[in-house]
Amino acid sequence: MSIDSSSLLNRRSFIVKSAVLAGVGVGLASCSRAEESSEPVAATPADTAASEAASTGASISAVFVGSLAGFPFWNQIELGARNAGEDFADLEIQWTAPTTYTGTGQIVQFSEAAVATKPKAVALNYVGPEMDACITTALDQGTAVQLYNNFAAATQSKDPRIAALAITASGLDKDALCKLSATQFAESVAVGDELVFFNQLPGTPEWDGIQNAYIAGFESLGWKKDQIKVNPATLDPAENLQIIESYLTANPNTKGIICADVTSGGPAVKAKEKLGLDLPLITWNLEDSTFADVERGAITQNVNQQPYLQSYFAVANMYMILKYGFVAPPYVDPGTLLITAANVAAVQSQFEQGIAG
Amino acid sequence: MQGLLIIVLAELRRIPGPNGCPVNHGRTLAGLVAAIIGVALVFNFLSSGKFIAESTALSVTNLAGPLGIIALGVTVLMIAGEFDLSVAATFVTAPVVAGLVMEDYGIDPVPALLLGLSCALILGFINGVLVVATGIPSFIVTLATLFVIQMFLRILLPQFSVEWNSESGLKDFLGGKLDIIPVAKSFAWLILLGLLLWFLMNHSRVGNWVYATGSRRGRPARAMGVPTRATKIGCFALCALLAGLAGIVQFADYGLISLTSGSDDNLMAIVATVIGGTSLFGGRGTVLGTLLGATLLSMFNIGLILSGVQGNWYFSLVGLLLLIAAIVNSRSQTRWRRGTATPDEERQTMVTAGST
Amino acid sequence: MMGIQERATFGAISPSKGSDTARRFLRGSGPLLGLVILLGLFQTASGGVFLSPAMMGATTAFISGLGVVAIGVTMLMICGEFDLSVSQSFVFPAITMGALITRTDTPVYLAFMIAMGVAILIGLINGLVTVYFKVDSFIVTLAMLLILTSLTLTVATTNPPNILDVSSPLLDALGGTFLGTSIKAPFIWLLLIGAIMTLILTGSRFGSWTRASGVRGGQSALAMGVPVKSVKIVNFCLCSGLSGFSGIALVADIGLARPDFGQNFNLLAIVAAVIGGVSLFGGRGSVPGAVVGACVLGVLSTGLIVTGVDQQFYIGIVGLVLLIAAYINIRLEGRETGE
Repeated sequence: MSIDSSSLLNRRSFIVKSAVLAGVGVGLASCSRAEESSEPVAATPADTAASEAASTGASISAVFVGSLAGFPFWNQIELGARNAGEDFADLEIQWTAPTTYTGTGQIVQFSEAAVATKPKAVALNYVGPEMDACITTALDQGTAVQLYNNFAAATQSKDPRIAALAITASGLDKDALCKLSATQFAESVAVGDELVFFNQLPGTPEWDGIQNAYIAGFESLGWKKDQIKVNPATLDPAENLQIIESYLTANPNTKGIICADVTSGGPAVKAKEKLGLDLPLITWNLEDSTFADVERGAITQNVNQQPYLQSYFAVANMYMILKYGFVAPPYVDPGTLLITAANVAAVQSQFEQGIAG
Repeated sequence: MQGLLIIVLAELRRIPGPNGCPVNHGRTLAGLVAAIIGVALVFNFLSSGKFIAESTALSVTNLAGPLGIIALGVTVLMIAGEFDLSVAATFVTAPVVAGLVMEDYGIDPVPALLLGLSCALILGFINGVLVVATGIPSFIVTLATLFVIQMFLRILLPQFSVEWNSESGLKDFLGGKLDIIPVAKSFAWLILLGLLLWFLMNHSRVGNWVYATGSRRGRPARAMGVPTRATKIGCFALCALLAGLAGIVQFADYGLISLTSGSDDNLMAIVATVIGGTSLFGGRGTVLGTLLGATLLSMFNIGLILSGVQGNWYFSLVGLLLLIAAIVNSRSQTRWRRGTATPDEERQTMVTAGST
Repeated sequence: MMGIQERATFGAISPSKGSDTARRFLRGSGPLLGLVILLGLFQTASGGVFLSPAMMGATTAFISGLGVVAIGVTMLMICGEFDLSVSQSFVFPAITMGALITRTDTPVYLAFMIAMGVAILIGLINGLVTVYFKVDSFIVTLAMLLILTSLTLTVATTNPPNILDVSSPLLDALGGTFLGTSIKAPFIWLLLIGAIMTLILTGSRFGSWTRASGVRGGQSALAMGVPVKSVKIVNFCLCSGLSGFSGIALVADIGLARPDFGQNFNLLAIVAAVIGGVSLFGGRGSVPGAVVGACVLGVLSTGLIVTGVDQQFYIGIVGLVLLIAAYINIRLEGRETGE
């Protein structure tokens, strides 16, 4: 019957195919291994770096791995990294990042790819223990590792080398940042007041981390855990407007709103206006309308993580290690900027220059 | 008033099915209306009376408007037997193009919006031509075009969002809410478009062509001389146009469009369409059903928040709703699956189709 | 006989022997050729970096994870159905297992069995509703995807289960390194499962039944006495079960069970299956092809990273690859749509 004979053919061709694939794989793998063994450890293959940056005879080549590209916060990180690369004359920075977030696995992929090109140093965002494997590879091959943005979780790593990297990181981790923000916000509300946090991407380490950090921050100031409510929101500003409005209508006891991005912060301002409520509001990151909103008090506090400084100082730390041989450059806190009506004007000019976001 | 009701009911019963015999869409539609009323009562109870209120009507219609307009396009296309997964990208493209052109070149709103809509139309044509010319299932083609359009949007809009800043009569005309009743303008546009499409689908030759193209993979239709290829391309274009129009209406209403706008709508438009009784196999579906489906979904969204239900359960409940609706709808459906009819059924179809 | 009726309905071309063999060869080996070419391209373009061991970690994790899911999806597509809920079948059982281990003191092997039971149950529900309520699998599995999304978030909470400190031979077997080498276990599982499923598909009665059930919705198969309904339900269970196993292996490897693992796997698995030559109309497909398809996707994404291609283009390129692969499939099938 036709099915039997074709299955026989399939089996034969399957065996042939696997043999071919195995042979090809072994052949190519042995090629690369041969190349590797002739290279000294921690040499910099110029080919990969050259595809991104021009070969200007730079002596130090490093890769900066972002977690996202094309989004406002991350655009600032990229700008900071690139400008630092230019400001330090003999440093060459290559930037790489995914354009959509599909999970931490992808960030690990990018980090590994960066490490595999054997640069002198690599800047990584420590999103979780998934990163340990590639950081170990980097350290073993002599590539310096610089952590930025998220780094506190590294202290829990079993490898003492990785735990030590947290000491030289550049960034204000979520826990400290949210505590700072909560402390200042507590001046506008009373302890025990019901607050709401809109989590726009539940299930992701970034947003769940912010949620946990705010709850912990407020708890340390005297709130009870169930006084900080959480409601999911989407990334669509127009939909968020309806969600926030409905939430506020359903929960008239709400005394304060926390939003961690402009796509919920902007709608929150509009929702308040529509309902005629004058509630204290925290938003994160900047967009055009933020400045006017802060000035007139519609936004009580805008959290600016100073992403530009974060990456700039991360690169500076890398430079300290590589050029000057500092074993442990300092942990750099880029200074969380809490924008309020008092300092909004100064930030606006930076925003227009494109170096604040 | 009573006369109007009788006419409407008669129309509902009269909607032709794939083999010319009237298909009972009435049961699905009645079920939807009952569901809407039931759900409203339940949510009103759960939210201690907050659900049946003016502000709720505004919120629900505000969500249902753009969603429903997209779903209308998806419905027409699904009746013709095809999918469009790229509607979310087209939804963003039209207002982004319009907004950028207004902001960077100072062009007036009307030509800007028309330019945006033309872009949407072109994208729809590309989808249609690709599907018809290559024979690749539309599911795959529009998945691919979704990715490609998203890539272009990223490049086009590095600033991530664009605002409609200028005060303009057109903006007020398209967005906002109606004066007399607490209903969002976008919902009013949805109803208007729904009426137009209903007329097109049920009282015009083109409408018959669409139903015929979607039935039994269009083979009987082709045998009868219906231009199925042109019809399909037209449906793709219409679907994209409606998606772009939905985006523009939301742009006018909210005043801002960002790369992540309408991200849920891709999925929810299909859900609304299926809840509304449209069959995935083509040849069957109603505009009214989709409209009711979109309304029901939006009611769920707002109702859950007002009732204090933990927000993450929204997805589960929509999933359950989809499942129940699909099961109920399939009961009143004959097995017009792609190629699952027995040879006898096939012969019967050819005979009855030819005799229409 | 079935063959004649099939051909008449499909309007398939009966080409000459020569181009038939060529077509068969291309359909069978095309994806493999494509993969080899891609490997060569990226290896050259990256100056030999691409295939170094340092690169292989995340890429093989991706391929191991997606590959097993794609195998299950392929089997299901061959019998004519879709499963859009695989990305949740991937992550929900693993999170259940993690939660059981860390929050109740369930022993690892029991938690594993419960998790696998959950995975198979998901498939069972999908299958039963599709077959007995006659709802299109696209819709059923879409609904299941939505239903599971909330469940996953609820069980995981904002502190996802962390099993890094749990030592157990079962977890090592699932996600550890293989017998002292640096190869990770999930990759071995992929090869093992791939081999087993290929043998089942091509050499067993169940395999023939699966393929027959995919042709024309299973009408002809029914006429021949194939228990189409049971075959489909079993394939649904297989698909979800394999996805669940794959997710558990990944979590055993990483030590964390995050709700956003395997996020796009439902669509990527279909892309992998299409690249591997599965027919979108059922009846035909290959398990090794699906594995090769997963490899192509993994190689593509990593290769683009390593060669420094602007990441803006990545999603567009995936879209184009999908179109081209689907188009090639269609041409090789001889335009069965009968347009």
